[in-house]
Amino acid sequence: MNFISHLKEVYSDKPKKPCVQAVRFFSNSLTENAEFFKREFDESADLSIRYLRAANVDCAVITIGGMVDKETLTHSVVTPITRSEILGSTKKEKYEFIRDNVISASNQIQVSNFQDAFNMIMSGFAIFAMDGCDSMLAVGVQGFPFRSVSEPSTEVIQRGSREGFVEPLMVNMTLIRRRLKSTKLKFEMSSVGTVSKTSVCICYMRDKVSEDILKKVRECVAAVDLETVVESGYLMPYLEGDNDFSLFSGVGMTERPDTVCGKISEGRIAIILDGTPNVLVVPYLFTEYFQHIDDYSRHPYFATFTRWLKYMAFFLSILLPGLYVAISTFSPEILPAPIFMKIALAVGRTPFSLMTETIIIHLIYEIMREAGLRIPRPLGHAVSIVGALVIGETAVSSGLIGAPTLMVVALTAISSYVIPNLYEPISILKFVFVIVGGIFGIWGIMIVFTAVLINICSKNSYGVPFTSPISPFNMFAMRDVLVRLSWNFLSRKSIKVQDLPGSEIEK
Amino acid sequence: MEKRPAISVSQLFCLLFISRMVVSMTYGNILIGDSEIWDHLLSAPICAILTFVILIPIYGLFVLDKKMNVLDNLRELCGKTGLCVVLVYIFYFLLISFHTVSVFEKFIFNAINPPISVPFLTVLLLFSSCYGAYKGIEAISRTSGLIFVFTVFAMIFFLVSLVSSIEPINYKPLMFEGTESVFEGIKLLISQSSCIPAMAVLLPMAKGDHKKGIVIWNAGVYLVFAALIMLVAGTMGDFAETQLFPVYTAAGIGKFGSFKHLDSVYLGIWISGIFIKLSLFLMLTGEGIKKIWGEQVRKKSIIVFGFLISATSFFSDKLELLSSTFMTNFLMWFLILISVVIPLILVFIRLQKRKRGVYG
Amino acid sequence: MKFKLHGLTLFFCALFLIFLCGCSGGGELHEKFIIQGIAVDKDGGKYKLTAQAYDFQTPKDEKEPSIRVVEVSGATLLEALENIKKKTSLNPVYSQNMIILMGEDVAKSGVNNFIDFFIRHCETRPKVKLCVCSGTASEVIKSKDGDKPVKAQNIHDLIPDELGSDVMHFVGDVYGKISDPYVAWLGLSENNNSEEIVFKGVGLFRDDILYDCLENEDAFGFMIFKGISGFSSCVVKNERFGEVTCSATRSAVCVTPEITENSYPVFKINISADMSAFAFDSDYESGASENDITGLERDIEDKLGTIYGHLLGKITSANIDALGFGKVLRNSHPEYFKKISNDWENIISKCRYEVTQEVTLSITGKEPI
Repeated sequence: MNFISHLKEVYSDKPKKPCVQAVRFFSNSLTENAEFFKREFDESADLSIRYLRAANVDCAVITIGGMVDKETLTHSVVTPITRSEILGSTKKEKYEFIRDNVISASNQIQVSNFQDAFNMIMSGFAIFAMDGCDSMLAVGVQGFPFRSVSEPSTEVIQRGSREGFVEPLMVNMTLIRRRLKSTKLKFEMSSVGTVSKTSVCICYMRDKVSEDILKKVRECVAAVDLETVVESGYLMPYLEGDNDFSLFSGVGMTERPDTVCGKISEGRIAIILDGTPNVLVVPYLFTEYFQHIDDYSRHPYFATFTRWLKYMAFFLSILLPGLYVAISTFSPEILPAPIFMKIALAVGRTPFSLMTETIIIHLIYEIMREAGLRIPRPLGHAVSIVGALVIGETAVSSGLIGAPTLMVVALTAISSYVIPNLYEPISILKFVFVIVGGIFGIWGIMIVFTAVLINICSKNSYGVPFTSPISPFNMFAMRDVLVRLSWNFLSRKSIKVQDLPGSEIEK
Repeated sequence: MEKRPAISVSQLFCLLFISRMVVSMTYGNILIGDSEIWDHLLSAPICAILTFVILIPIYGLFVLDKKMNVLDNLRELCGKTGLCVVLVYIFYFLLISFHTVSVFEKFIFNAINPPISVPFLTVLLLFSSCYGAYKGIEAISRTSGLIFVFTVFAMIFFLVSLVSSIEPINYKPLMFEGTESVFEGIKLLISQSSCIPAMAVLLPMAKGDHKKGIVIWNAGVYLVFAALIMLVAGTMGDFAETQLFPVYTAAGIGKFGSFKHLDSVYLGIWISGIFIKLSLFLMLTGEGIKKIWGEQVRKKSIIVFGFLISATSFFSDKLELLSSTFMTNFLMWFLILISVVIPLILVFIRLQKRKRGVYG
Repeated sequence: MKFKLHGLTLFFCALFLIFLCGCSGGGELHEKFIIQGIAVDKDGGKYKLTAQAYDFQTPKDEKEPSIRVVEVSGATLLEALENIKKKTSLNPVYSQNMIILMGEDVAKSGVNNFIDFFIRHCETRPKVKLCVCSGTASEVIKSKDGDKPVKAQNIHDLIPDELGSDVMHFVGDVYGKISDPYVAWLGLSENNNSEEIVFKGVGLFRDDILYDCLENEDAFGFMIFKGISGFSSCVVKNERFGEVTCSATRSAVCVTPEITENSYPVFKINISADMSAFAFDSDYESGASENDITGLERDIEDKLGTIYGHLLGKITSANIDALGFGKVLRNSHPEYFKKISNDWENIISKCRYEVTQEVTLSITGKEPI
């Protein structure tokens, strides 16, 4: 049993919350129902119950303050009810008349139990209740404030759409639908989180997706046993498929609707969570970390060049510091004489060993990076100045740190930003390689590097080998891996993710 | 129904190619003794043909039932006796793992002599290889696919860097000192063909054209071996005879533009190859264990064997054992037993049973 | 509880790795004596070793490390090398060593006595250049250019790579026992008492013992035979132009052995060379006609004939096979060579060497109008 599955087992020891709650239906009395609402919300300040009297019957409009557009509510619910002539002899008939003829909002859902009603009002619906009726009407008058659609700061592009996902699920669905005007595009709604009841949407192309993968994704989403889910990252461990310890993730994350459209067109599945702009994509393969939407709008030769740059940057960022330490400490003969002399001169003047020095600078750099991320924006410059002065200038000039080491760390840092999605594994692996290089030299690095390769290669993302189509190899699929051929060629035949070599998915 | 891992034929033969090249790269005076390395150029094509011959029973057995490897056949056709024979295979795979570690240690100790503790490095290698073996054939073969690409590039790099250093005068006439070296070479090359017994277990796991794979693999292995000998003899001449690992020394001589001392490239590829080979043979040992005691024991056995080999790397001096002709002869006859004799018997039993109508 | 145990195991594994640092004796670069060049001499019965290395304790304002020369001695070479550590407290590293200089005494007492270290040691490289120095090697490696010692790199660059004056070729020849080894011959120039290292020629060995050296025209001929151009020049007398200085831009040698019954082998040596005439001592104003050039080519061929006559006579009369005739004979007539291989050493001088030359002359530089 591996470590992660053990961890899961440990955590699963705690008693799980029952997922299914008893359903309570409405009573015929509005007062009773309203009391129940109040009681359940414990008179919460944002619960608003507006009592009306229409056709001599007591009515109420129940909303959560701030989640509805008051103007819409007034124009499409309150004003029509209070000003219209309502026909019908019984309360039931009056309710039906209002439902069918009076309320002008386009989105209406009839609910019959409190559970659904709670979900609705907490999703921005207004609940219209009438005395003497055992059902209520949820009217779509959502109007909560949300961030406008803007360019995602984590995935900046040079050409193409500036639209990025936002927090509301429906807006995100619209962003995808606008780009894929196909009846084959399907959104499947469900919810996760026993308490938060966060809406989650599984999005795919019906004609492209593999039923096997889709079934597994549904199972994974259903298996989420968290109380609250506020970010898509919460779902990632559940979507990872096999419980295999790996530094690399088989679940992709993007903030760009165009990226999602591209992915689902290849048979992948997107999982959109309400309240977060980060959309998850499965299956996600190793080569996809090196693909960017910008590649497809550039000239093929340049896109190919940048691909190679990214692969080089990846290997450089994980191996360079380790190799630097290993070669300088154990195998200096590999270095060309001029470089070797410079390093030896620099190291000779610093108090720490090369391994210690490299680890220290990397740690300082990581601290500064983390500080830069969390610090209020106005203070960001201060961090840069302190960092540049403390590390760049003072440490070298005071002889605490060697200039070549600083250069290696800087180069590593820059390289790791070329593939920002891989920053997490890179930052850990570079430390591993520095330690292994400092202890076992270049020989240890090669052994651990091969072990990392085994780790990457052993991973499957929903039955598709993580390293496909590089290994197992497929020449045709390579047209968009190590090279990016022209669209004339790419468009001839598209390869679905389940058709990649080594895939265990039944077609 | 047990899920059988599936790899492609090309992946399988990449894996076997790397496992074989690792041995060729450490070809040297420790193993060949007084034999003339240049004459082994003639041994290579002969061995290529012999390999085809040796492979006939294994391939025959595979053709009779493409879903069963030699271990499955032993269990099914021979019952408990068969399971005892599986132990022989386990012993062979373990011996090859042990031999690989010995070569690794000896190479590191003699050719590099690093300022670090070699046994600790061996422990790191074994620890990582156990991880590879634990992950199974799919992970190993996929990794070998990547390493194969590096290996091919490295080989081309060597070729280009060494071609300019070749001095044709170093190519002495073949069999100048007699035919003995050629025979010694054949014996040695066959004894090193541990991939053949591995094939007996791995062939059913691979999907694709096996025949084509075998031909390309065999031709590739011996072509590269011949090219290595040509390069070593051509660049170093008689100096090669003074070196324990002449291929490694030749790599250090290579020069390509401003790139010098390419032995580091050699080392990188070689260590990765050793890792792959060790993972493969530990995995094969585990496969044998699985046939007798089941999946759970397989996982534990890999770790146990890893520890066992690690422990011996600390305490035993394998130098004499390896350099002895006993080892070459023993490995060769052992290989013939498990690659020719046992599969032939199994083919015979299966055909007999088929005649009797046991298998339709 | 289980989780805690796993955490602890991981923690101790990490700790174990850190402690393993103690097992690794890597050491920092500046704690090593990274040898660039070694000079080996004999001083009485002892080996005197002069090693040149970079000094990484150089003051901070210096951009390049200064060069440090250390002299040690020992009964054997290894003992002397071990003494480097005692003298400097630094670990000697041989992987960056570029050149081994041998003093005449050492070379004459047999190189095999000390060369084994350079074959066997993991850090030493087979392509390390090997040369013999007139007088002592120590003088050469300690020589100064201005107030700074001459770098080992500069001495290394003096010896052309194509000459094969390195450990690999030397040891290969000694081990192969067919051809005799040779190395570059260096010395200090004696002009105005200044210390300038010059490439004087080639030192010839019989087995591993220095026998003689080739200088001036002999060395020029040797270099052309080995296909090395641009080494030096030769002066040819010509009726039309007086003394003309030429140098080789390309040379190729083809040796064809012929076996005749009851006689020793005949080596037919064909030398084809592209020569360049740089300077005419007289009558350069009127230019050169085709006939003039052909005449000059014939003169150069005659000159080469004289040079090779002398060179081959000098080498073969001493029964030294520095030009690799034995290997050529072995490769072309293996059966015959097998019979005579034990006696090859004595046969060298008895073989006949027929040299033919083909020279193509090109006149470089500005042609007169």
